Amino acid sequence: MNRLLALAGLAAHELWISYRLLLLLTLPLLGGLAVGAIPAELAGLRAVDGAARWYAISLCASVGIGAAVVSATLAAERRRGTIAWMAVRAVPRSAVQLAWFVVVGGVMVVGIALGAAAAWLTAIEQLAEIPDAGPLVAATVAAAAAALVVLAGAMIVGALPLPPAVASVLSLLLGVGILASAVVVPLTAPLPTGGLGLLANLSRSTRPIADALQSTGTALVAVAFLLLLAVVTLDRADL
Amino acid sequence: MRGVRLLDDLDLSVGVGGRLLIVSRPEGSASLLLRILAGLAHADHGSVRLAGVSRADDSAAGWARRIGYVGASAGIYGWMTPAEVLELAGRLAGYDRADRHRRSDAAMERYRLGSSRDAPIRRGGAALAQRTALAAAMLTDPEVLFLDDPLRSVDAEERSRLLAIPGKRRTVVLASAFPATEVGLVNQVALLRDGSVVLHAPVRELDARGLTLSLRGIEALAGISEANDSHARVAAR
Repeated sequence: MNRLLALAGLAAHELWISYRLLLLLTLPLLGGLAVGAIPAELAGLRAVDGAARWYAISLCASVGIGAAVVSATLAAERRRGTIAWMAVRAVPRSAVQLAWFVVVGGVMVVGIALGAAAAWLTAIEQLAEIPDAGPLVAATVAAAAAALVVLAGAMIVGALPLPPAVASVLSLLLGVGILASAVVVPLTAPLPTGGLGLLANLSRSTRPIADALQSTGTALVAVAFLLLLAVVTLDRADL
Repeated sequence: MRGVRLLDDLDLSVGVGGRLLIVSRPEGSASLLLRILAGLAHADHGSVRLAGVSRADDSAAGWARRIGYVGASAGIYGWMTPAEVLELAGRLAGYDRADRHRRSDAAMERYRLGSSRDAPIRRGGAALAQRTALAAAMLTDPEVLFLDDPLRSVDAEERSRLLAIPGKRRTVVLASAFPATEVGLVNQVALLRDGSVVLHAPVRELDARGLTLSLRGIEALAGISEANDSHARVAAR
């Protein structure tokens, strides 16, 4: 545990001094704040549902960029030998990956929560009566889980023997593509990225909290599976 | 190096306390061998066991303390200070606080890091990064130390001083693309050619034959002349 904390501290510091930590935190927040700038006639639906939809669309971009950052970071770490430095000290490669995922995922989840709060505050500003926040909170949790799925996928791309720039572009395209499809295609099953679809189509769901819980569950299973794949990929790579 | 066989059914043994220089043709073979031994690269088959421990032993008293590796690239974050790097290396090796400080102070002194102790490594450039990497590798007093063309950014005299690794029972394996710069640091030499060991001999055999510790001298000791070499290349085509 101490070792994991030390590695997570290193990862956080490395992200902080290069402003990537700030980027991961502020992108979703800016997405939430930007919801207020959307004209009422474009927002559509009821205030909260409209805000949630636009916030979900903004998350496609911010999480996609987050995935690009994750892939590029991991690929760069491998290239400059920092993972090798750990590996010769008998630090399992999986521990290095897990530390990076915990930091990046944690920061992104906090950013998504802050963005959702900003979107919510913007939406209720115009309402006389404050609606139940439960469905939005549940959908945001599920959307955050969907973001973790994409970030875990980016960990796999980062572990491949690709230059950082190539890895980041690949992750960006994959991340945005997967998330955008979840937003465009209405939720029909509890898919791992279904949380984002739920957030985008909150008014259509008759049981948003149950749907969110199901999507969160499948997303967390998918995260575990993808992280396992990322570990296997990095284990097989030459450092 | 795609499509080139760098290592092939290699058999090489080094006794405890040996100081072995490995040179190779193609050049990358020696480096690859060290990276496989250090667990950074994979061989097609087989397993690695060094100083009685396997790579899988990630316990505090296992691989982390007994095996050291320093590559051509330091692999250290530029924002870290030498003191932080040594502290981290000590933590990863599982030493308690007092032991970490004692070892860190000793390494600082031996590798002359004191004046840069609390300055970010990037300020001192590649030379400081490489000296810090060597200090971190020596922090655990490893039984086996792999040096993969290290300290190339350090000036020659200082490099020789730093690479005169103490410890009679410590085995040092050094891969170098410039064997002439390793005079006085090793007592045996191995030549890898097309992935196999074609020579493993004491350095004194070079001296006895009036040959220098250089790629040409080592190849001559192995009975490979330049004429033979070019003939072999033509034949290979």
